[in-house]
Amino acid sequence: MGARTWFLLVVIIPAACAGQIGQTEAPVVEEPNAPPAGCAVDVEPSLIRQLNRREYTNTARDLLMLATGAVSAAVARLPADAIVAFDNNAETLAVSSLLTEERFRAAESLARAANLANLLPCTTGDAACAGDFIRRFGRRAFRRPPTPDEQDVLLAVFTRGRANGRSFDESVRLVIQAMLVAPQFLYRVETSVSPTGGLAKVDPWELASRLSYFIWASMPDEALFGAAERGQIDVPAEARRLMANPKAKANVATFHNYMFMVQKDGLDSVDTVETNLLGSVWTYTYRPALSEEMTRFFDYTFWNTDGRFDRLLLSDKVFINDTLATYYGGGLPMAGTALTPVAANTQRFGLLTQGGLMALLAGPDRTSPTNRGKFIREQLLCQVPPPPPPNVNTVIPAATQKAATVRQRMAQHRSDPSCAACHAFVDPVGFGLENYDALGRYRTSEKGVAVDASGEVTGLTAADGGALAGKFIGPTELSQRLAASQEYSTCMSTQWFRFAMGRAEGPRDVCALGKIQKAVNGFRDIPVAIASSDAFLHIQTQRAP
Amino acid sequence: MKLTRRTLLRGAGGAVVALPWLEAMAQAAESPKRLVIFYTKNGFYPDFFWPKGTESDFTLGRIMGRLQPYKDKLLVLRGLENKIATFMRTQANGNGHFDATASALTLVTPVGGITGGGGPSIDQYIGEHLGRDVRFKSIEYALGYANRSSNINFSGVRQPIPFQGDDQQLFDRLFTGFAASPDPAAARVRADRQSIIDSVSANLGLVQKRLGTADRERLDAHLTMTREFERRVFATPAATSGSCNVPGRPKVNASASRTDGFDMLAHALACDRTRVATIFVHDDQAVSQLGITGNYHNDWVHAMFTDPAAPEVIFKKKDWDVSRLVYFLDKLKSIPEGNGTVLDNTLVVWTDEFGSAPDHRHKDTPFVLISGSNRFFRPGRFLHYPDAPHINQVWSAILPTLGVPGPFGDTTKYPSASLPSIV
Repeated sequence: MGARTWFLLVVIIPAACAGQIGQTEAPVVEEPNAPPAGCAVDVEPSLIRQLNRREYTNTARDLLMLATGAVSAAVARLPADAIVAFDNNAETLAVSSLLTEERFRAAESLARAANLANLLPCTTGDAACAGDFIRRFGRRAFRRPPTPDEQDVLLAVFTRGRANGRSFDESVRLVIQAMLVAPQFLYRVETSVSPTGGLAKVDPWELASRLSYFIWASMPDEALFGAAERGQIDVPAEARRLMANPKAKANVATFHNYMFMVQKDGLDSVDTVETNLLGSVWTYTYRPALSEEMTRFFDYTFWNTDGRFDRLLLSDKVFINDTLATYYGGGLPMAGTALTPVAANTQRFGLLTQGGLMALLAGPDRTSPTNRGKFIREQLLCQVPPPPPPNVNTVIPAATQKAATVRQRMAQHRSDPSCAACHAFVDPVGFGLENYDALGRYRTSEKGVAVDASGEVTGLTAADGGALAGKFIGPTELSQRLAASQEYSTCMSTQWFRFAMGRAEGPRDVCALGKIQKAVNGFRDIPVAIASSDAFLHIQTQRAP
Repeated sequence: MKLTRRTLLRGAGGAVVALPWLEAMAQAAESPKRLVIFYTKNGFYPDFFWPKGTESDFTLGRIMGRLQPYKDKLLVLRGLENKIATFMRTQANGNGHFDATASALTLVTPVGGITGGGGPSIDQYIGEHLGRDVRFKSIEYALGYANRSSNINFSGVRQPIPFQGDDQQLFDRLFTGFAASPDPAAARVRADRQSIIDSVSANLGLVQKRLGTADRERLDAHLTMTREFERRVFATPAATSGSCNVPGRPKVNASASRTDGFDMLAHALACDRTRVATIFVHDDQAVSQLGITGNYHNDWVHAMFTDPAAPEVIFKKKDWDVSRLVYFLDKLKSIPEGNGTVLDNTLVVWTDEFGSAPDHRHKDTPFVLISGSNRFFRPGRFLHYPDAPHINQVWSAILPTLGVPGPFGDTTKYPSASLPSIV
């Protein structure tokens, strides 16, 4: 078996998905084997990464030592980033005409806002002082010591400013402005050529930035620069140190927001028959509470528990206030206006019981077991369902007397053999959550028919950790099986890997990712394991011409 | 009158003509062709929209009522289908919204999600041809909070071009911002900026040496954008004579009527700041000022066939959208150019996300072409295609009239043959 297949969960698309009628068995997911012993150090080729809006804002704040408010004003006009999976996808962060112009404008504002007394290393006000500033401040702005050529470019800005009748301070501000629009600032420049080409270690300066942008979404601090300068970055120790800083909290929250769709699709984009029925109480009361519930819950499971992967799915606590206790019902205590941790119960106990998530995964007028199943397969198990064949009508039939519930209607839909195999992959997983309506409120019946929350995880061979495969009943058992499965815990590392690298994993990451997955026991282990991995420490280079 | 090089050299009667006349004639001949795409969201109640009658003898539907003064200047096309979006609707997690917006102008299969354009959009392609020497190859302007919900302009695969919807920001970009001014201090500001831009180019050159091919391509794009920006920074300030007249800076970011944006775009075309613009009217725009309660999309669009009040509510919103289009057309028509007006040299293409609103279908996707002249199409007509041609077939007909080679987009999976009756 090739290197690709032992890590990637390769979905074998059955013939039925390719339009052949009469074959209805579920797709088979090949199981990952253990990484071969002594597997090679390797990494997928990567693309240069541009600072996104969040990283730009954080970096400007840290570089210029400005208050967040001052930076926010200067960057207000920068266009929003395009989101694919996360907000730091290297491929999607493309330059545009508007971005170029607004960055230039932001650089002018930021250079004006900078307090030079904090930034200048000297008070002599002469060219020597400017040169000193360029070397010292440039090291922080370019996140490595500027080369003599780079110093010349920046000094030329200073000299031209002076020749243009600008004061020393004004000319220094021009230098700052030049740095803020320089590619060395706007991009995470990593040397991607070498004399021989092929795999290379990222140099300590580049590694320092990889670490700080991964964990802080900002530039390295002085301690990290110092380590880079000495050429001795103790990666696990540094990763742990960065994780202990409040900047990491904001970044982890961002990861969760994209990972669990809060920010990606946005709860405010949810519009269903149910939200329409609720009207403004949904918009102004329930929706913000559900959104905050998710944020608090994710923070809690990551930071305030032992961080084990199963805590996310089977939590001891959930976050509730009076609004949510009313919304959910089911015996939750009234807990005041602020969200408060209360003991989980059989209806509210984890990620899959979050009303906000269920709303994000709803269909327009019903629950969508397909969306729910797809979320679990893709986001929690890192398995990609095969696409349906062309020319398939994916509209779920309207309710009839014979098929009133979503489940019954979908059974009808799946009786079409060309749809059956693909739906068999996702729907039975989603059926396990039918106890939650399209807005995540618990129910035991739908349209007068008792809810049938029996489901099945298909497509996994029995050889795999049997925790996941097979039939189950209801949200609790589904969550328990997911929590106990290897697929889920390895997928959590994979998702973090994507966030860390700003790209999807590829065949040449297999070794590194496999080692990360083996090394971690919980969420808080992941950043350290990724930072210490071969993929994080290496880069593919081209042979220098 | 068609002015060829031959008539230009010889004059109308073949005689040698005086130079000023020649210059005037050349100027008229050179009035550039422009394209404005007016994109609206969420469809409409079909019975209120489509004209009734024959190709040349028809009455406009209610929603197009305000376009009555332009009836002899427009071409209404019914029966077109965004076949890409229709196909995507059959896919897992197909989304009537994103799949339409991501394919409407890219004319290739989307790669998923709001940012999922599968290639550059046709406005960018046309901008490359028409706008090579003007300040902005294209402008992407939005009424309402559009970046979150829909990107229709793309520079490449999964490379959405952000909208701007802040009128003051648009003004600064188009008319002042980085342009030089007569202020004596401006020369120094100009010198400062030149110095900064020079440093970007120099730094890019230094960085490129450390990079492999793929990374270098990314920074090449950065250099191109910087060069275009440099051209904008140091472009001569807009003349305030002739057809070019710089409007005042808007007093607010977004007035309720949004006329500032249309004024600026019209003048940007007249001043040749750009020749290609997209105007995106988001469905949240103006809804509250029209007294529409609830969520327009959820409460009204989805309820069009079930709530008897919904068609009128949607009419109200669409009528507002059309009133903005008419305001823009009036503005273009009010700016003289050559022997006519800017509208004569501008092709406005109005299209919508949907053919009909509540079911989010992409059959009957509307196309309304408007221009003051017949430089682009034969106006004053209503065409109904019974066989559902693909939207790209309209573009195949239009591209040659803009002087841009076609076809564009995916021509293998979807039909792209030019619709013969348009031009």
